[in-house]
Amino acid sequence: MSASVDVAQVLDPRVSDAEAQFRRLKQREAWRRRILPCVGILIGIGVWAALVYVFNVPPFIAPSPFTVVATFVTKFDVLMSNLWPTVVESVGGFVIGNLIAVALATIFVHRKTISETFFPLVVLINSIPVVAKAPILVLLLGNGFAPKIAIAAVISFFPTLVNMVRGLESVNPQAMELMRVLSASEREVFFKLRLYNSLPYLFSALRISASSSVIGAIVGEWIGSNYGIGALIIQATYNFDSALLYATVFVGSVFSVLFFSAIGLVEKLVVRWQPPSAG
Amino acid sequence: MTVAEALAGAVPESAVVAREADAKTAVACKNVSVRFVTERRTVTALDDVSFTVENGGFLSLLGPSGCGKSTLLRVVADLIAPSSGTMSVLGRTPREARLDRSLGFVFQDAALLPWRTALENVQLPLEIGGRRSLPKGAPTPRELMKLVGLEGWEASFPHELSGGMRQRVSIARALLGGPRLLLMDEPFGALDEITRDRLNEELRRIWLETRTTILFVTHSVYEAVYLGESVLVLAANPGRVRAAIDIELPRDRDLSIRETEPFNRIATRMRGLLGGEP
Repeated sequence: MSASVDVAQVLDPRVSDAEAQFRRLKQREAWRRRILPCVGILIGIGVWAALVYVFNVPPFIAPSPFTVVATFVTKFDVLMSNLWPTVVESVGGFVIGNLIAVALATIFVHRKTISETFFPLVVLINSIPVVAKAPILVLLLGNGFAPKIAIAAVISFFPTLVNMVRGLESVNPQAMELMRVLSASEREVFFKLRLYNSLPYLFSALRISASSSVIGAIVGEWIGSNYGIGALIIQATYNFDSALLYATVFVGSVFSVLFFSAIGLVEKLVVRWQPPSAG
Repeated sequence: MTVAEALAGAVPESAVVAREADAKTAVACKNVSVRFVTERRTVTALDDVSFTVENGGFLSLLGPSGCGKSTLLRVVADLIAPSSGTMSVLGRTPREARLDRSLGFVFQDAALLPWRTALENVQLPLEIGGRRSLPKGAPTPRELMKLVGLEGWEASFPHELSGGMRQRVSIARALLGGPRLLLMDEPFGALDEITRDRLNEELRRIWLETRTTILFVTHSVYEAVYLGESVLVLAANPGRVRAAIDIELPRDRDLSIRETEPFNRIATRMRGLLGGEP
């Protein structure tokens, strides 16, 4: 039925003209969306360079963009060797924190008593700021990778827990009744219904915790470390090496953005349906 | 063998005995009451409701909102336990009938799983309760998609289908495994009138072809009279039976019957029953 209609439409020149025009418009729209942000960034850098030049800002207060680029090139090895520890810490913390969050959310949804007992405690711990939690973890776990991974894990944990619980619970009540009519076990309800239902919620939490786990790792390195993006930021600041400071911040942000985008990419591959909230 | 014949013949071995023991009655409801207790008050959703449906029958449950017709359907499906009274489904308790997969349920919103294609949604019942296989001779998911007029849409996701098509998928899913009783809770309530009319005709056809017993909840007089072989008229506050009426119209009917004299006489009478004071 539909197939014959489609063939007729393709053969109609008015339809194919309209489609071609629609594609052209779409393409222009796509280019606009790519070019305009780049223009904005270039203007920002231009204003920055102009301000530094006009007011003759000394290099120990703020560098010009050109010195930052020069430093980025000359100290590329230093920057990269300090990036890797931060990558390991934030990705490690991200994985551990989110795994625990997903597991705990699953338990919370199935055992109300456990949820009602421990959820307030989790909220309480989460209300402590990261900068206050970090020293506690450093004292507990020493000076190596462990405390930084722990801080990144703790910071990733909470948004995922909350979103995952909501995603597992907010199933369509009629789909739930359907499962009951089919005499589904709790396990089947989880794997056929709840888990899929939670995926859009999980990914929006993962995107948040991808960037916040990087923050966690860097904060951990501020408190006690000789390596990593956080340590390099502190060193550069104390040495009034503003160009190195800016280059380090740049490297950290690029990593954070890449991490965030990678999660978005995985989401697009996994969640191929339209979530009900969007429809 | 056509899809419809396959559906009609697809009865699990275990059910044959029960069927012979109680060959005539599909649903027997005796003095069923349902009360919901809340903090503010106790709501009597159903008060002393009795009715029976014969095997292969088509009963419309008609009433205003709040008359407990959906609740009644959920008592049959073992989704709600009655506060008092007895419900017998295919000669067994509702629970036994549910565990035996004798029921199909069609919900008001199609309740499709958005991450599954239309065909995968129809297949869902086979993946629940351990991997099940279809009873011998029962129509396959693909054949059911054809029965509900959706051949060629198997790979579409629910958000790519119209409301009417989604409801067709959900009917196909409910028919999988050849249920002996199909429970439908205002399945066409959210659809536009044109789609609703077409699906009404198709449901009559599917019922005639499959010979499955159907309980159909609606608040539309036209729908109730056109579809049903009998109509149970319910009144609200508390939900109770106002009248049980046999529809004496030919079995083979199309929508044009709604313009005939006998149809309108029945519909007028039914409206009178719905409008009257308690």
